[in-house]
Amino acid sequence: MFFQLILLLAICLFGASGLLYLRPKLRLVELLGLSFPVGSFLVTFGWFLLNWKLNVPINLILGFCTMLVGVISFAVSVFLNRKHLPISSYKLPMFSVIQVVMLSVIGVFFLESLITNIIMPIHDWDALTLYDFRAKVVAESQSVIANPITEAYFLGYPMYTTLGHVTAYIFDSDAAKIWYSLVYSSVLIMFYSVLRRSLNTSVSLFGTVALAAHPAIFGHAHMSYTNLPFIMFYSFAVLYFFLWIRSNVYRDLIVFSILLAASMWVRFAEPFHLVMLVSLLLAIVVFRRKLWLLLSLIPVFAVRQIWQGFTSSVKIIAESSQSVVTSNISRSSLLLNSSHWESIVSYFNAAVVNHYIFLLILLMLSFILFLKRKQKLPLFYLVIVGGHIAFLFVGTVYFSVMFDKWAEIPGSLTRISYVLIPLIYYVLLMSISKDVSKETEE
Amino acid sequence: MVRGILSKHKALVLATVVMLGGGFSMLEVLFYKGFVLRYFHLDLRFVSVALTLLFILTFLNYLKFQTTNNKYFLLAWLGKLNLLLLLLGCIAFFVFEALETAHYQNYVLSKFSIHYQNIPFVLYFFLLGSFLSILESPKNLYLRFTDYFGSDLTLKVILLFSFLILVLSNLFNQFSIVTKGLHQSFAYVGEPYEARLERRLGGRDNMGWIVAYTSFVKSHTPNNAVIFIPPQQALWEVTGNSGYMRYFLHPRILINFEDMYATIPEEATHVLISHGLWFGNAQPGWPKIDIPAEEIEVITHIDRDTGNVTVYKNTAYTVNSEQETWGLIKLKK
Repeated sequence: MFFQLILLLAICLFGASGLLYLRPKLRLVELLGLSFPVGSFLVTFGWFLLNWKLNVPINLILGFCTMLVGVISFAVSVFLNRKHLPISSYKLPMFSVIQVVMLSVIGVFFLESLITNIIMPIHDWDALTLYDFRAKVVAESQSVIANPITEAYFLGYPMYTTLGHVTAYIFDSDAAKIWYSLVYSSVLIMFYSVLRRSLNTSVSLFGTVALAAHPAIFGHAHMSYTNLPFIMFYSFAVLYFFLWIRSNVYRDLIVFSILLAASMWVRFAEPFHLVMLVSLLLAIVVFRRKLWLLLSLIPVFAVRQIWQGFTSSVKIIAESSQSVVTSNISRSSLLLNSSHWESIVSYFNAAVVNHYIFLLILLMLSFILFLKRKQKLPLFYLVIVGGHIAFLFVGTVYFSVMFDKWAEIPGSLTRISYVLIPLIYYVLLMSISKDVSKETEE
Repeated sequence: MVRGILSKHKALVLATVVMLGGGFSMLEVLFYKGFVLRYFHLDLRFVSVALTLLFILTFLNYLKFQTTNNKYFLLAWLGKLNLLLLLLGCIAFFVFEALETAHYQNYVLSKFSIHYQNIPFVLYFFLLGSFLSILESPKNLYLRFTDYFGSDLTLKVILLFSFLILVLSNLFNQFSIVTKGLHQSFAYVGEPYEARLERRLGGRDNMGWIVAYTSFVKSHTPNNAVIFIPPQQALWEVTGNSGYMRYFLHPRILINFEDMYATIPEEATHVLISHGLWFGNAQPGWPKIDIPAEEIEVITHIDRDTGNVTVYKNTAYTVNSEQETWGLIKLKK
């Protein structure tokens, strides 16, 4: 496990080395939060490309090379950015008692997830049948193109979490779940840093405690599913999008662009990137931003194209998304049937609305607040959050027409909807607390 | 009239709210959940929401119009007392939680005769009461409040409290998972991977059996074996799930059909004997067809309780749903 931990550290260093070039420089806590997401995306995607295009085996040697590259690139970045390091202006904060208590709560939650993930083996159903099985085959065959992982079933899911598990298996470690503790910690640190951009330390810490203790977030910190990594990338891409609208700083848009691209490397089936395409267009119109900023979506489409290229190259088209389509022409007539709409609404209520009913009521209250204050920016945030809920509903309608067994797995829609949690929490905290960004923004 | 009472006796209202809420919640700790509803005909959840709203409105109103310092003294003292009780209550809850995890379910109830799971409700009212302690330095407090929260103070404070309730409820629920998770994890330390996985899946009496069972199948089949497994339905949702079984048996090839009574396919080298590991309306035991002795090289059974393996040669396989049977049939090729 020692080498696995070194590799994970190198992945963070690799991520940090790229982020050091961003200007204006990131706060230290923001850099810490983003290092693992960015590094893990670049490393796993890099491994995949190296293996697929250049036949570089995914094994121990590649692991050691990655360590070396991570350390060297970090050293070079530190040297080249020595005058702009976030640490140069860093002052050790003085925490109050209540802040120390909140930090301790976060620490306890993280440590529990880490200890449990080190000791407990992967046991979740989907992980055993898909992500972890594929990881074991990749580690054994040293290739991403091996039987049976080229079957249609596997091609609907990109390899982010799979290659994350491989970082353990190439060193003969069985503690692959450590990956999810790192994802959990990154989600929390990123959430704190995103909140801290606008709110004071206490409120930001309170928000972080709230997210850390959310049953879905904390639960998925122990599960080898793609949902928490997807939240880490997608939800935070949206939050960086919010930050960019607010700050109009390109750095935030670059981070948004990277995280959005990375989200495509985690989950491929749900076209969330289209929501962001519409949101970006809307922002360009409403806030009069330049049209060429749409180019920030190139990475996400590039990742999508690359994965599609891979699935085609292994000669098996992802039948999983086609074989279950049952004469959608005849099924589309279901939309004229009122009882079908009733089942869609009740399904959507059970899978999404019931899980967020309390938060949705609070969101409505914050909507009243924003409306009273005639604040365009937070109202825009609310529109984006509402857009995501609408997208989930439209997606449900689409699936109900395309798939005859659409209502059999409500848990799946619930899990997808978890991307809403950080967004709703962010908007709520922004509505409650005073924006102190003028005092805190560098 | 209510408005008049509120404006004259705000301090009393604040103190009453805290004590009433705390008292009602405490009854449910000492007796049982639903006690207040049964004897006072009040739903504690609605009572809590109503009391919280009353507290917020009175508290803000109090801050806005109170000018002299001496009137704050008693309330500030009550606030401090609540803060202390909150701290002690948290410690008590965590200790009870740890005791319950370390022993057995309802251990705390049997030893101390209290329903500690209801403590968070009491703690919430202690927390509410703790806010009174800030009245110790009330100078310009309302101005400081409005300066921080900006306009729409009341609505924001209500929003904040609602969010706080949600967060606290999540915190206490998740803390229970934290203690259980740590307790379980430390109990697994030092065990080999298979043993940990078996326990994590619920043990041998449950889904965890799949670990020992597939390990047995692996040790009795070559890597290139083609194993005929049950259809994925009824009692065989697990052992008939080729995707799930593949995790344990890779690189062996697994074949199954939807028909429970399907004949053995040509390419199969082995047939799984699976009693069934799921729920459903079906007679246990698969295969559902008899296999003559001349087609069988060897039948190997494994006892689920002891793990003992028994080998039968020159024996036919006959369907038996009475006895729990697990094993493997090696076919003649």
